[in-house]
Amino acid sequence: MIRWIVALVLVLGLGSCKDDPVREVVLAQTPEGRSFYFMEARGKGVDQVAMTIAWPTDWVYDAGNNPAVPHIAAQTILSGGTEDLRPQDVMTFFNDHNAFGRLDATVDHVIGRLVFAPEDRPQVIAIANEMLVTPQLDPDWVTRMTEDFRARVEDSWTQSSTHMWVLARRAILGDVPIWRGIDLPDRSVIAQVTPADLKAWHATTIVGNNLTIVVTGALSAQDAGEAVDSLLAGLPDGPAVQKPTTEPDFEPITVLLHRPEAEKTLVAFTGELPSADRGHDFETHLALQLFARSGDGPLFEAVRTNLRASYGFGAWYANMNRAIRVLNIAGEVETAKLQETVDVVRETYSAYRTGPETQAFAGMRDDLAADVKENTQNPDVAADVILQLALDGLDPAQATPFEQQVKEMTPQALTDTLTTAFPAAQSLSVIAVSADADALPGACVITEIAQIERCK
Amino acid sequence: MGRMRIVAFGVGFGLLAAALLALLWPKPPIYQVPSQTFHSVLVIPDAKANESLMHLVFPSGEAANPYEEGLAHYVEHLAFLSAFHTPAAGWDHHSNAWTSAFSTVYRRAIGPEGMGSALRELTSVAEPISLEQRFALEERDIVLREYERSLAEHTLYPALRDVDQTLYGAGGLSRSVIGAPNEIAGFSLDDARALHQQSHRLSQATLLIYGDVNKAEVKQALTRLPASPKEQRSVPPVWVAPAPLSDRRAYPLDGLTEGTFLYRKIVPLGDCGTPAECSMILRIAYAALDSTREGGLAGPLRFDAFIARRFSLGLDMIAGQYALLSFEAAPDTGVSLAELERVFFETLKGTLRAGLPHDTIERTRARIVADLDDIPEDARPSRTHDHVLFAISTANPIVPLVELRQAAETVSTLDVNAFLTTLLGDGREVTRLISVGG
Repeated sequence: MIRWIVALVLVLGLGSCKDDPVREVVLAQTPEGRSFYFMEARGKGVDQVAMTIAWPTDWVYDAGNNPAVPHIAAQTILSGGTEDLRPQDVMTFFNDHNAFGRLDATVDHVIGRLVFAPEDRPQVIAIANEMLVTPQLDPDWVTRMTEDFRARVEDSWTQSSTHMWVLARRAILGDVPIWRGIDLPDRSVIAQVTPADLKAWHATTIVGNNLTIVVTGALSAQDAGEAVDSLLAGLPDGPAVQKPTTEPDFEPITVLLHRPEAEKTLVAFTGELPSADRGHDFETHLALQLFARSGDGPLFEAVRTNLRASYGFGAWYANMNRAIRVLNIAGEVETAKLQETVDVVRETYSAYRTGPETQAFAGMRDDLAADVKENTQNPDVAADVILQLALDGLDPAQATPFEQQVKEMTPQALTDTLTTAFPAAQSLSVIAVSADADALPGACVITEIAQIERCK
Repeated sequence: MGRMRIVAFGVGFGLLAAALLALLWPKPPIYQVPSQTFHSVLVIPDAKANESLMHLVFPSGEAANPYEEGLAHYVEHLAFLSAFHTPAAGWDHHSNAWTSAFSTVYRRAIGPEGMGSALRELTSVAEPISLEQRFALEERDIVLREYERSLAEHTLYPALRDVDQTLYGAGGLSRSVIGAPNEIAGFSLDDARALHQQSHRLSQATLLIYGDVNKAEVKQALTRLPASPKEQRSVPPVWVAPAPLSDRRAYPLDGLTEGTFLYRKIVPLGDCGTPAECSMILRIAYAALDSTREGGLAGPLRFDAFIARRFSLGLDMIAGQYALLSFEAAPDTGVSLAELERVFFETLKGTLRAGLPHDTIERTRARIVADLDDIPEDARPSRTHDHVLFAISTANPIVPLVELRQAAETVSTLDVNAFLTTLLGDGREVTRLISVGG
């Protein structure tokens, strides 16, 4: 199951403090002419290098491709060792040297991360390069990774929450390849993955061109450039990535998925938010934090303290891809109070959107700024932040330090974001899952996710 | 004799190492401040803390609860609401609380109103529960929703409960911290009040203060609190049934999507040295057993052959008295749970009998030392705080990070291997082969 790097930039940032050297992001070039973002970070507690690379992909947008392949391929490539090193030798080396590497497949990009100490650069880069260029793809490892992925996906489908969120995404995206890539509604495709599929995915995805590359940490720009060239040496250029535009459907609906085996009732409210490249990330994040904070937040007070219907509701946003961002409000709820909860959440959200109480604003803004500052100290985190900015089309080299952005945020900016960027309460869809088919009077009741079309 | 020689060597080497380490690892101060209110007060100053915090830890959790299972957690909800919640303003989102088998913990940030005010609010969790009865009883519904959130539809949960109940037997650790739905729905408010009176005594509690605070400020705030009645520290509950046990069962579980092998063994900790040395021995033993190095489980189970598709290992100190070895694995395609069990025991017992090779221990030690030394100096008070809070709230001895770092220099290969032999000794062990049900 694809899990997006949801809103990573929200809690991270690029900062510096009086005790540390100023950290600047620059757009640099490797000796072989590749562009990459670079931020030198040395000083207290920084003795590592982080490299992050995004390979664009359109694999899941092609209905003829098996959407399970990217997940299994990404895991297998880094698990099978090299021609000279057995898988356990690679693992032992990385463990002994406190190094780390992983590949994550999303629908738009495959994200590679590599973290190591500067003195281990030659060995780590050589191993990672061989794995990327000539992965072993041992059939036994392919079988193991396929079974591992199958078990995790099957287990997630035992959860009512999975059914609810797959239904919510299906309602927004429709039965299109990107939805099947995110949610794998047909789990039988997992067992159909072959080593040949993985080779095909590798040949078209892990290539040497059209990459977004970031290097941060305790090394010079020259060394960083050489590290990039060494890591990518031998990767051929690949074809241009072509993705069809997906038109989301945010027309409000109220649906109850009747699931007799469900051991709890859940409800989610979904709505449209502006895409990631439109900015307002911090305002959006803080607005949702204020709304859903435990104890004295309006949502919490409404559903737990007053209605006594839930342990607590969350509010956050999620990116389906770079262009589609969704507002989510959700939680477990007492079945007998589902209808009341839906009414109360709508009323509370509506009142908050048009007249947010800002009493806790300053404190939560400062908490967020402190989190951002703390996270910036880590080259690994900083590399991710820079990468996400670049993928959103925002120039990391020009970005105002995030800590400063957060500190300068005003209550008015928050209010403006809520009124201009957040959907109206009547525009929210309601998606519930329950063992009680009558728990939400007036809802379109279905028993299968595929029946959603009848509710539109 | 071998251990004596090594210990003597270790101490001599340790003195030198400790002197060198003192330069690299200046002690983040932990003050103990006298108090007539609490059992103990610990202060960890950190002028650069993002947030100053107080934790009040009552050394009484579900294991000490004589009433329905889960009642200690319900009491925590009620005491928290009684102290922190006002109908008009809810409660400050910087406050929190949680219950474990070992303790009940309340957290309060020190805000602009100052330490005295925050301390008065925090200590009011020990005052009689003053909630309106209807509201207090409705809180059972909130706990039910909490149960649903964390445990309903958890496919392996029935097997995990079975393991805990069998492993700990009549010991308090066998009890479920949250309880079962039918028990939660029937919690008695009278029982809750009685348990609260028994478990929430400030004279038994530890107050941990962290952040931009100083000793004088703490002392002044403490003097404004009323003194608690003098009393002895409560005797901890019996955590684990004393009789040795070896219990193996195989059964199917409905809803499970993969066969799962579970193993737990709990043994008395034995003579492993100071608390810091014991902690370090467990860390090294765990990391080495988990690794691909010779003596580790990863080679035989995951790499030399395709036996376990995934596995997770744990080796933890329990209540300062026991060591708990935990293992969970899913077999590779075509491998039965029984075959996985056979290879697991063959590998584990082989290592426990022969000991870990010196090279494996030294490389593991080097990794742990590097991890500890990588903690930036600025972050050490914060990490020390987390470490101390975890120890207090799990009934374990307090081991400051600097002492743990020192123990990394003094613990020997023989010490680690001597500890491993205790895992072969008498204890209580539970093995479960859980297959996919209908």
